[in-house]
Amino acid sequence: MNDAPNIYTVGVGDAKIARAPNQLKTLLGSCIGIALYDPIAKVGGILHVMLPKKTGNDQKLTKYADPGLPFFIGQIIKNGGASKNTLLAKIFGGAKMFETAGKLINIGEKNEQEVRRILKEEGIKIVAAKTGGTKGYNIALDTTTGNVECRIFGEAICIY
Amino acid sequence: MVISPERLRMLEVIMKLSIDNASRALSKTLRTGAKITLSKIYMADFNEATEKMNTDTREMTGIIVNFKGNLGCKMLFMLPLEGSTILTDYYLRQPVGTTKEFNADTESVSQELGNILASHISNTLVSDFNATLLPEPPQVHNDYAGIIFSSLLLEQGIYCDQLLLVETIFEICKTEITCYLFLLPELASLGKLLDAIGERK
Amino acid sequence: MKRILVVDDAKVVRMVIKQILTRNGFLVVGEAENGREALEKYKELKPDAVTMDIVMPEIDGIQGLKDILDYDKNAKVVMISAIDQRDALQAALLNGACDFVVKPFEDDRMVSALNSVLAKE
Repeated sequence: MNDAPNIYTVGVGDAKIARAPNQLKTLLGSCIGIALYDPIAKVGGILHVMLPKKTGNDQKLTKYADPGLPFFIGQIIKNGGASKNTLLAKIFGGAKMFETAGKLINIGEKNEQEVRRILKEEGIKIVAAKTGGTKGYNIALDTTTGNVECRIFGEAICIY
Repeated sequence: MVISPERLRMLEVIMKLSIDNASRALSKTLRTGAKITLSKIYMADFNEATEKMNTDTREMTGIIVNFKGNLGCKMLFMLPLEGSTILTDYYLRQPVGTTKEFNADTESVSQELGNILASHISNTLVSDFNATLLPEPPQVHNDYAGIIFSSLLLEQGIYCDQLLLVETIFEICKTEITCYLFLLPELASLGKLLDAIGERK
Repeated sequence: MKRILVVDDAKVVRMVIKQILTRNGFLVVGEAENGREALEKYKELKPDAVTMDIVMPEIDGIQGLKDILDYDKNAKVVMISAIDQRDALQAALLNGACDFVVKPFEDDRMVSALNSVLAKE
């Protein structure tokens, strides 16, 4: 939990929660970024998932949509004071860039499907989504407004 | 996998030899010097490395090469987008400024520079380690530096938080282009490489 | 004028090789991006010699070399590659390559390789 007004960077497979007036930002390739925001509590967070489902003994849950997203929702409620009823989600990323083999084939698409499934199951509404394509996403969540500034490589900035 | 400081030092010497050869080949290809300003080998934590790079929104051209053979490895050569147009002119022996923007020629030159670097790195590693290592055709992608770098690490980062990275910075003489070269040997097959070093002791 | 087929997956490499060969009195009659295209163009154009890269998508240069020599056992193929490894060199020479030029090369090296290959008719 971060309290000083600042801009915090979320790493790959990581998550951070911040309260107004702080900002959270991250870069996304094939990963999906889930920006959760509670407009009443003025608290938000970004989860940066690499893979749809956890396999093996990896301790870092936030790499995976399942179980990382339910865990992250729990954290923003417990530590951030958000309420599940008022939480809103915006999702970004899932691009297909370098050709990959094995586990990473169409990983962006699979990540998005899993994230959408979990958010539906948790009853959290997706109010904006910008996903797919072949270029990276640079996103920043403003926890004062809940706005997400998104710039896809080579394109103009859009606000969601 | 734990690598002792002694073996890391040996690896560093061999990796540097391969990068020296690659840098000479790059200089000869471009007909201008490619000066190495930094070269290091280190164990990196996947989360720390990507968090650090995830702030880097410089617009870059990234060339990723996968190697096949008994020593798994990936290479990333990354340079500023405007630098790749200058190197296109050097490669095609035309006046700097002829290529105005990233186009099909720039993509092809980037691909070939990746091929030259990867081939010469593998040539050295094969002769020093008795390994089999052949580069696959390079993939070129323009994007934010942080995204390109993360793409290099992603596959290994799924399985392991600790990665061995060989990082080199080149400066292309007569230009202000700074290029980054990363080698990411697979830790699983690195054991073989280390055994080969051990046998020579 | 000797007629050459240039095979490399990188367009700019084909351009540079073509420039050098043209300056040195050869005629580049065709270009191919991989081993499969190389065989098709070889059958169609019947060149006097071929320059062949090794690392290419789909069908690589070693397979391309084999396919061309299966079609024409007298074909003259010079490998041009940045791969300078014993296994690759052996594979190329055992499968009938006439010479092996390592990239990056001096213009003269490639020209003399083609000249000496073509002189052995």
